[in-house]
Formats: sequence, C-alpha cells, structure tokens
Amino acid sequence: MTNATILKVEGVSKRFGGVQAVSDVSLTLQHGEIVGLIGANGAGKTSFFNLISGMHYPDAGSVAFAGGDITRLDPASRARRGIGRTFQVVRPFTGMTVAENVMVPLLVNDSSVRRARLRAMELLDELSIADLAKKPAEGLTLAQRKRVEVARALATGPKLLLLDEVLAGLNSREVIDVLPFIKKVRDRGVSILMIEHLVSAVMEVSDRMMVLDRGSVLVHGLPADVVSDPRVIAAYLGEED
Amino acid sequence: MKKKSLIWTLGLVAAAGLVPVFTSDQYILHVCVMILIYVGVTVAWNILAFGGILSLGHAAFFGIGSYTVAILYVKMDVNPWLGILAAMVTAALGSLLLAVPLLRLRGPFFALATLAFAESLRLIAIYAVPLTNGSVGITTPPTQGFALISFSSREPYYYIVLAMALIAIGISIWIYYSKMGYHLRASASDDEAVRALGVRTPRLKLAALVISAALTGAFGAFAAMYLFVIDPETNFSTPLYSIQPALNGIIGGMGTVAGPIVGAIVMTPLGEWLRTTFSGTTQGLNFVIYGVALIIIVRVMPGGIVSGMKKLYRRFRPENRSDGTAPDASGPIQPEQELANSEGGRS
Repeated sequence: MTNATILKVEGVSKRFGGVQAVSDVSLTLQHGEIVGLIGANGAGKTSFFNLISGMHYPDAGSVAFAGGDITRLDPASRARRGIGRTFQVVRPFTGMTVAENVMVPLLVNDSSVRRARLRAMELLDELSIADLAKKPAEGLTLAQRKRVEVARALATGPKLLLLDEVLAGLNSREVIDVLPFIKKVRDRGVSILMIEHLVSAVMEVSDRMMVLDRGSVLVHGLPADVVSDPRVIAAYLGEED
Repeated sequence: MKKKSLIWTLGLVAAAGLVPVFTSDQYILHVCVMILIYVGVTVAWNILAFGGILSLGHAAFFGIGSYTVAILYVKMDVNPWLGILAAMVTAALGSLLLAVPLLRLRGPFFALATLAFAESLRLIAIYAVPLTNGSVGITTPPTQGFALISFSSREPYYYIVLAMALIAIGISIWIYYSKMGYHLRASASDDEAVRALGVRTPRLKLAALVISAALTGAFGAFAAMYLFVIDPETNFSTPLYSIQPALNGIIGGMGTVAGPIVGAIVMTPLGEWLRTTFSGTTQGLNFVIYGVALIIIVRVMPGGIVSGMKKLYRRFRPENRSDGTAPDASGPIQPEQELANSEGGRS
C-alpha cells in the first residue's frame, strides 16, 4: 500500500444470520479523496461502514488503515487512529448541550475542558451552528442535528470521515449549503467515504463512486460512468417487468 | 450564575457546620449523622449513575468497608483512621469482582448482578466466622479518643462525617465537570456512539465503579466506628445500603450533581420520622406512607426533585421560559444542566 493510500479494504464479507449483508467487497481510498457509496435500501452500505468503523468485525477479508491492519480493532481504537463517522440515524447525546456533544471527542486526547470548549465553539462556528451551542442536543431540527453529528465526527480529528446519509432528510437548500462544506473538509486532507441516496449530490462531490447491490459491488468507477451504467439504473429504479 | 451558586454552596456548608451549635439534642444529631452517611453513599452511588449505570448492590462496598475497619481494628489493632483508608482500598478491590458483569451486562441485568453480589457477601460474612464472628458480628472496643474515632457525644462524629461528605461531593462535582464526567454522561446517552468517537468506555466505566466503591467503603468504615456493632444483617443490608441509596438518587435526580444530596437529605429524615411516629400498634404503616410518598414524588417529578424544582422555578419566572437553552457549564453546580441530564438518563 502506497503512502497516499489511507484505507484499504480487501474482500470483506459479513453475514447476519441468514442474510449475507456484505460479500467480498474491496475498496481503496486515497488521501484526500471523496468516494460516494450508493445502493438501494438493504444493499449493505451501512454494514460495510460498520466493518470499517469497527462496530462489526468481518467474517472474511481485511481492513487496513493508514498503513496498519485494523481488522480486529475495536471502534474506540479506530477512532483514535483517525476514523470518524456519523450515524445514519443521528445520535446526539441527550442531556448535554450541542457544545458539550462536540466536546466529548475533543476530550479524548486533551483533558482540558476549557480548551475543548473553545475548540468546540470553533467547530460549531465552521458549521454555522455556533448559535446552537448552549441548546440541549435533543431539541434541534433534523438538519441541525445532522450538523452536530458532523461537527462531533470532525472533532475526533479524523483522517478518514465516514458520512452515513448526512444529506438525507435535508431540503434542497440545506443540501446546497452542506456540499461545499464537505469539499472544504476534503481540502484539509481528510478522505471521505459517504453513503448517500441523493445521487446528484454525491456525483457533485465524489471523485469516485461505488454501487452496492445485495451486499456485493455492482459498479465502481468515475461518477459519470457509474450513473449512466445500465446495471445501476436497473438496480436503482428497478427493472421493468 | 457561577457566583450565585458559589454563595449558595458556601451558605449551605456553613449552615451544616453550625447544626451542633444550635442543637445538642443527641437524637437530632444522630439523624444528621445518618443523613450525611447517606449523602456520602448516595453521592458515591451516583458516580456510576453519571454513566447511566444502575447499581443495586452498594451494600457490598459499604459492608466491605465496615468489616475492613472493624477486623483491622479489633483483630489486628490497626488504627481506625488507617482502617478507613484500607476500607477504601478493599472496597475498590472488591468492586473489581463486578468488572465482568459491568462490561458484559446492560441496564437492569447489571443491576441484578450487583444485587446478587451484595447478597453473596452478606452470606459470606455470616459463614466466615473466624474472620467476621458470623451473625454475632464484631463490636468495636469502647476506648475513646479522636485517634480511635470513638466519642461519648455525637458532635465529633458529626463533624467527621460532614467533612467526609463534603470531600465526596467535591469529588463528584470534579468528576461531573471533568473529561471523565463528559464521557460518562455521553456514555449514559449512547454507549455505541461514544465509542465511535474514540472513548474507551470499558476503562471509563471501571474507573467510575472503583471510585464509587472506594467512597462507599469509606462511609461504611465510618458507620462501623459510629455504630460500634458490625454485623452481616446491618452492614450488608440490601434495603439499607443498596436500595436506599438508589432510591435517594432516583428521587433526588439520578446522574445529576445535586440530586443525590437532595434525595438523601429529604428521604433519610422522612424514613426516620415515619419509623418513630408509627411504631407500636401502627407498626408497618410507616412503610405504606413511605411507599405512597415515593409514588407521589415519582409521579409529580419524574426527573427527580432537583429537576422538578427547576421546572417549578421556571414556571414562576416567565422570562426564563421562552429560551429553552441549557446554561454555560462552567460553574461548579449548574442545576439547570442537571435537569437536562436527568431527563436524558431515563432514555
């Protein structure tokens, strides 16, 4: 694996009971690259994410990150190495303010609560939600909660950011607001793997796209090629009977 | 806000310090000592509750503390002050026996494991006669003096346990507003999400357990010296030292800083008063009333007394009502924030 390679997933598979959620999927991500992961519901996108972030361990295959094998590493250790993620269903820490939510990952490597608070405010400011800092995290709109989720993931100081449907549920105006931010994060040298249903949005920011169908890679390539591939259109829109 | 809560805190501490000046009634002082023992144990119990962990077995650590100081003092002639420190160590070590259930079991299942753990220790204390004198228990010698934590009046006991309770509260506040507190509170809300952010929750929970157990052990040791007699049915009592601290904490506001303190201060005299008032022919009625009181408090203030009071306060201060914001968390005690926390703790 070259120096520019940040993530190398080789032939991972995962079965849950009778369901083969992920089967023999490989993916390599370069430093500063954005890869869009699309596929129908149940195609195994989130399961694939979970194998990278450590929520699940693969039955077969391996995951290497920043030059080291992490196939059997727990989620916390992976996060410390530089894998940040958001959850498809946003999971704010209830009973804590927005700022405190963002302080949680900041306090992993720095015990100073004061510094964490300042840094959290900077991050919230970057995501244009500084005005929400003192609000309870549970009292936000979906769009706001998604931003908090992204701020929290960024606060881990990731080299690789896994974004699980951060655009879902946002209106078109909000989507337009978020896309430049994703590019901005990439420009700072963070590689991004994003699951998204909104194909047009993923196309706009992705360097490459991968389509999963029933746990396997259907197509993998440049965005323009992927979306015009007849197999993708069939999988996405359903084959006509 | 910060200044205001500091003034409040100092005022309350001063008031607590002056209790023996205003009364020399030994019974009232006894109740006050018991209140402070419960403040200590409940605050210690609550350190786990910061992380959303419910223990119903703190009698285990209390009893280990009691027996440690008593056995060391009576059988090995170790000074009881050192005994209290030793009790903290043995209680902490004992809590490590719960490490596996803590990390493997969720919610109510861990609570049941702690309950069983305390009961097992009670039985061991009954059967380990050479060490514990079995059901007969251990009686500490009557020799008095500050060095031996033994006095003819209640005042010195009161000041000692007040100092201990203040230290416990200080540790609790420090944890709540430190890195550990943030991580525990986040873990209480969503353990999986907090791990994905790089927090090593097993280590975090173990640390909370050990600190909680050590503090409880210290109060168990103090109670042993205060009550002279240490026996399995009392010092490993599930109702007294497992259920009661949990009740105090839940009633006051589980996982908040002020909740366990308020809970212990309200519930201890209530139980004591009911017990003495409804003795004789109406015996047992005290438990009925206590139970009804519990139901009412939980129904009226589901987040505990502290959050209930905050809601009430907000209702009568309409200018605070419109902004639903939680305050800046920089102050030592910020009850509004604890309100939010206690609400989160129920999910």
